[in-house]
Amino acid sequence: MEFIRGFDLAVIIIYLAAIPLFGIFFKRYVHSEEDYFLAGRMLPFWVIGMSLIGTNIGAYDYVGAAGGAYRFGLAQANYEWLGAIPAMILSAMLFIPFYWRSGAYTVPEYLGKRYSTAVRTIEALLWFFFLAAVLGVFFWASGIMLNTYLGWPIGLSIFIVAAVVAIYTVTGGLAAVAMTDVVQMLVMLVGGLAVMIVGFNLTGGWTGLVSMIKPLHPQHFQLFQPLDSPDFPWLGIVLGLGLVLSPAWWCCHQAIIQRTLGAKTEWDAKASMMGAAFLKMLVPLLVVLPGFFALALCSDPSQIANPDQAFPWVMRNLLPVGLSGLVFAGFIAALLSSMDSTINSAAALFTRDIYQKFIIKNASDKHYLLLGRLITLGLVGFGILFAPITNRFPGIYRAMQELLTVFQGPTFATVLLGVAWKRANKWGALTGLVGGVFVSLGLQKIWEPMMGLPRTGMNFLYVAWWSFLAALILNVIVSLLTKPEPLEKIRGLVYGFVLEDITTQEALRERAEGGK
Amino acid sequence: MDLSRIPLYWGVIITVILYVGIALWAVLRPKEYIYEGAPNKARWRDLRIWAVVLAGIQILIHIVWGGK
Repeated sequence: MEFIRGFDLAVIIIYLAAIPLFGIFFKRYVHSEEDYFLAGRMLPFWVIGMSLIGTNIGAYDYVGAAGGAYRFGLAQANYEWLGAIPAMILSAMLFIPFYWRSGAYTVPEYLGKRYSTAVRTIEALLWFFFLAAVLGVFFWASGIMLNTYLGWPIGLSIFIVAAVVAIYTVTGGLAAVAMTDVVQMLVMLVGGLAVMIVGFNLTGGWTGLVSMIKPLHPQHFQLFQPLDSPDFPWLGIVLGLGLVLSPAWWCCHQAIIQRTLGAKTEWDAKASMMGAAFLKMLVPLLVVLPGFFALALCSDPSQIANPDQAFPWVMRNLLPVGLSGLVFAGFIAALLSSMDSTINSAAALFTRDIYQKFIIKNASDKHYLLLGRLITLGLVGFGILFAPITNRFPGIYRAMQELLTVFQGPTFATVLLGVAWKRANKWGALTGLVGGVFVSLGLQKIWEPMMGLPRTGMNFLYVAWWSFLAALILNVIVSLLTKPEPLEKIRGLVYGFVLEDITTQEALRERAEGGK
Repeated sequence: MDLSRIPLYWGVIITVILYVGIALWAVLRPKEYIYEGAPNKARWRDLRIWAVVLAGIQILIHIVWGGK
């Protein structure tokens, strides 16, 4: 199965050696907890923008999205366009200024200030355990990938990837994560561009590609699929993906938001998300087009019995020596950039929302910095140990994605009402959050994919929509039936207050300096 | 009811309305709010323009490839 040798292998080894060396350079800028988790709030918008996309594209996206395009066509691009761009504009113009001005390090920390410690803790624990579990899946995926393409033993592959990530994430914190993500993003772009040039050259450009595919697969060139489509029903795409899952990801996901809080100014924070949206529009060129090339050029469909083999087929059959190595380096880049962000964000959540809140409250900055590094290291160790366990559950990656859906809708409803509606209170938030999660669990039957059983639950796009709606309605009803939050408590944390009020700005500064 | 008979262009129409709404909302944000923290008020730093360009490209993409 392995098909990368010689010069390609040299490219990959040089890349794996260079990334930690580059990342470790940023250790010199880390002197405090803020430096470690927020890069000392010194990052320009273009660094964060590229890091956001690097974090967003995982190695599975290459394989899975190319497979999706091979099977369903352009509908796969919904995840990059309608399933991202509107939410990114909303995040930049509404949510990011809020987080930025509240002085929070994490999304749960904002919820703690806006609602209560209970809401903050539930959110922090949900995210922390989710991110930690995902880490195991990432490590296992990296082991499988290096084993498949390079023939390296799985255990050794996991150890090498873990060592590379740990070196720069533990030492350099968010600054190293963001700066290495920039390099990783460039590698991904160049690799994707190379595939595009080779593919179009062989198919005779876009027109040639369309003429080769369209006669046999007429629906492959339309974004929306009929309502009875099991995977991409257009209403589910609009309601579930466009209005819930995507805003939940771009406005509430800790790994995403934490980057923007490392910006040097509020404008940079907002512009980073807008800039990332422009890059995001190009992502289908990287991940969807290879699926089309495989569909157009593979004359023997038995070679791609499983759609996820579409991208490996392109690498094996279309790319010349040297380019395969570069594209595979892009694969590794996608994996590393998602992994480092997950580790850094999970460490921030534990340090800020659990350790500082419940274990040791008023320790020195150096103490929290050391703890952040230890937690980061501990998470890498946990990922290595947890990785082989993920292999025992065949549908675990899908289950993880569905697990994310379980609390994304309720989380988004809680944050949205917190930001937009003064009357939302801690009891409403708590009921909405917990109730929404239970609605998700009931509709989705999350245990089925986890146990490898056939699915009988509702399509996750609709689950996201209904759980969001349930959390929203519960929050509104319970908030109206209980006492409103005191004005002083929510000053600066709700839309109307933050924009112009100078007193609010002072209150926010005090809150950011004093409250952990 | 045969759901598959609902034309796909309804999806396109709803999507275009969504993008137009977001672009309009972005354009109506106050100038000071948009430029907060920016070193200068250069035209290219006006994030409202970025939002309109993004929405415009997406509307075009959905009109061309949305489905009929």
